[in-house]
Amino acid sequence: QQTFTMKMSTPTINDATHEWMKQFKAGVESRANGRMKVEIYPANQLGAIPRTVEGVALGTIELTFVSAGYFAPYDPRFEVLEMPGLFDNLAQANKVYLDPEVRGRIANYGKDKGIEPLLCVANGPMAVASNRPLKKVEDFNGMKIRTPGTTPLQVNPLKKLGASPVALPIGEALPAMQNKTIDAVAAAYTVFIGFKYFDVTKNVTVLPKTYLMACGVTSKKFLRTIGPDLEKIVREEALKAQNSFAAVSQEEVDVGRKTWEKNGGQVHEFGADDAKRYLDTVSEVAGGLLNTPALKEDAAAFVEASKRAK
Amino acid sequence: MLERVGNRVASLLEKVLGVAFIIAVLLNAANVAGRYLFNHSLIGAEELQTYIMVFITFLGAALVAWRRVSLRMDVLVRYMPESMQSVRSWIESILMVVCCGFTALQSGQYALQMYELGIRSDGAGVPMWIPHGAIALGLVLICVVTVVHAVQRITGRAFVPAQRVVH
Amino acid sequence: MNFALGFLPVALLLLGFPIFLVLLTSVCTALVFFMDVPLAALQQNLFGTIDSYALLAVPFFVYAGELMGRGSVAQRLVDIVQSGIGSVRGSLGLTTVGTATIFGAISGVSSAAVATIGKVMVPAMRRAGYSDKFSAGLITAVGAIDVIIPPSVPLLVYGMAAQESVPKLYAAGLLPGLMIAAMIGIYVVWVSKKEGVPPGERFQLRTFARALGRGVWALGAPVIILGGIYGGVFSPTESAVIAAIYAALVTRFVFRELGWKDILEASVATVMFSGQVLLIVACAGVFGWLLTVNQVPTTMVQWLTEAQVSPTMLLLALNILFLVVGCFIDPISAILLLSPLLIPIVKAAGIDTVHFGIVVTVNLAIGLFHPPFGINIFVAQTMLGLKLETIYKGIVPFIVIYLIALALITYLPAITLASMRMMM
Ligand code: NA
Ligand code: NA
Repeated sequence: QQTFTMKMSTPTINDATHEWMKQFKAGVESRANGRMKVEIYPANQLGAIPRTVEGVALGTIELTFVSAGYFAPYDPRFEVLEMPGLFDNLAQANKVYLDPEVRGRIANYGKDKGIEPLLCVANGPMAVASNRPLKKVEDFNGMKIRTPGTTPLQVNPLKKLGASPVALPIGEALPAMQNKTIDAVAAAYTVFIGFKYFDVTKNVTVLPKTYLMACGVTSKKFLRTIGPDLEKIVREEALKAQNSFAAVSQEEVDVGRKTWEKNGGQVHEFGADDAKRYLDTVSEVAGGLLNTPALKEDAAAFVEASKRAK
Repeated sequence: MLERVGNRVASLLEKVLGVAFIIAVLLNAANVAGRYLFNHSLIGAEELQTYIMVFITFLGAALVAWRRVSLRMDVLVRYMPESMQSVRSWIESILMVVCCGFTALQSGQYALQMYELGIRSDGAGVPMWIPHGAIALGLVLICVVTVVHAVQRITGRAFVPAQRVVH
Repeated sequence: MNFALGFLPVALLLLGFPIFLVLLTSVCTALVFFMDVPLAALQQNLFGTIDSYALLAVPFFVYAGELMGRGSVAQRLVDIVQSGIGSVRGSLGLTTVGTATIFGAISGVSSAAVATIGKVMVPAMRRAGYSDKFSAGLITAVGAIDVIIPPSVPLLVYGMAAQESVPKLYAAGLLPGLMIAAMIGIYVVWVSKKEGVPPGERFQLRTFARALGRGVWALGAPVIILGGIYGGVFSPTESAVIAAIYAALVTRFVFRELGWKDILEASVATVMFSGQVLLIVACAGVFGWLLTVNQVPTTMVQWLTEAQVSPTMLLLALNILFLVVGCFIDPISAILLLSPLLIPIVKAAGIDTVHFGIVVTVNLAIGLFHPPFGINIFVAQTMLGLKLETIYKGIVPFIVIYLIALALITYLPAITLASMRMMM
């Protein structure tokens, strides 16, 4: 009897994504009776993010769990997931991703390129850590800010706000901010806790209604190779572990906030007026980018699902 | 004849790669300047620079093979009798063609898949088969160089001991 | 598998095959005969290793070094320092140590330090009567200080993998780095006395002033680099580029020593360097990936966990583990692989994780110039055109120095802790 190995990559460690992997591994291995071995490689051990995505597409690894934008080169519909202002909170977002209609829709993303998302999640709010406090929309003006990637959706809204986006690997962002080569870093909120940014700055601003959307993507070929019963186990265990994702991720955010404040940091939020202006500006740019025939339908479907999940 | 053509091609490739690297240097500097002068940085400039590095590494490797300046530890080799050195040298040529050829095949297929999938880099929008293809091209050139050197050895022309360290 | 990733590379290396071919043959053999991984992994890792923004600093600094060495920027800088130090025996060796320490504060990539400083200092040391063996050992070893003194790419990566504060790690690395520099400095003076390297000329204000006058433009290079980085104008990688452009312009228009053709030739030399050294880095990247997916490091850590030893013995065992791993894998991969596995054990034993980060980094710094695969060795070989065995021989005393330093740093946590308190 053949034993299959499923190598899974994540850029982070000891967070909600890593937790999902551990739960998935335990579930799959106990039900597969030795026919499947799941290996977890956290902290980019299997290589840089775009390489792991290629790895899944070409079959060198079996799953990578990274933010949705990295899959956009394989299917532009992944960008729809990063539409700003769609959800009021983390719980709502994760509820939408468990909606069967939405799951069915997302499962088709990347179909032509041989990849398939097993799950998508909202992985905590997006935030900006900055040397000087970012309390209103005008504070973006002239700010040299690190963005996680270089897709138009990540870059153009910031430009519109008057900031100057700089693409840097997250590892190089902290020293660059420390010696003021850049003014701010945009990333998932929990990243700032993990990297202990409170040693460099006291200011972090949670961006209104903007979350890091991540997808755990596997390959169609892999699912075919393991045969129908193992495929069923993989799908079921992925969903089972996804059910507890929202809670784990919310707890991580809460603990993160406490840790940040305990270390003398402050968490800023825009006032209602600035939040609206921020979202209007960002949505206008994003709306323009997403307003193509291929993306429109999915964008509308997400808006609907979001209403249902309120 | 082979030597002359080879040297021509090598010195042309050398200049092309040298200019490419200077372009990487200027791109980097333009990014710094842009950040201060126009509050604007060239999105995707980093990508272009790293892809240029991929080109100069793998095509540069073919130049290194042609000029016989590969890094190696040759201390034991020099104590070998001449006949053994010759055998060793042939084994090296065969291994070189087999391994670089095999890897070039994988690289080429990979680049082809990137082409078929139509994947582009997310900053500069470079079709990914191009930087991936650079590796295949470099490795194929190493195979060609190895074969040319082998022919030169058989015909007894332009023999240079393989373990020369030149800078 | 042991055959492909253990026996085969050593045998091929000893038989004098090109280093990249040694690694490539091993990984091809492993992939084809021993493993069930798609062959696309080969290309993916060759490409993925080189497609890295952090690695770009290496060719950029090599180019800056080439330009400074081809014109007289380098020589003028050396003249200033030498005429300033005066007739101390070993002054040039000390200058090398000092330069490397300052360079350590600029870049986080060790091979960049070896390339640049080697190009500048080794020819000067040769003229002053130092043996190539000694110079080569010195340059590969002082280059490794770069990753201990902040900024440091390995410390950054450790901070991420161990979820430890990078500013704290940087602060903790400074004193250990300076300590190693001082130990090497003492050794340099001792060797210079023993080998009878002639002392430099006596200090004369007039000579010094003249060197300073001749070197004003040359001094611009380090001033721009340090000022730019610490003034927050640009990143270390960018500083290499700015230094290169500065050196090119000064030698072209002020000193009128280089033409455009020479500037292109310096670039071609950088291309050759990449074809020699970065190619090895790429192949080593695949090698490291194969060790990872074969769970070799994981298995080693399991032995340690099961052994249940005291903190003192644990640190010893971890040092040995990191030294062994560091001989075969580059520091970044080693940290990524091992720290997530080791941090829980280290914490359980009550060892401070900042302290442990410095211990790990010093270990891996040794791996940077430890035979057979220490990358600094190949950088020195390319930049200086020396025989590999000359370099190997020259390295031995410096490994001993580093091991003594490692023992001190490991068992006197006060060194790293004091460094952290002093800086923060
Ligand atoms: Na450093
Ligand atoms: Na090493």
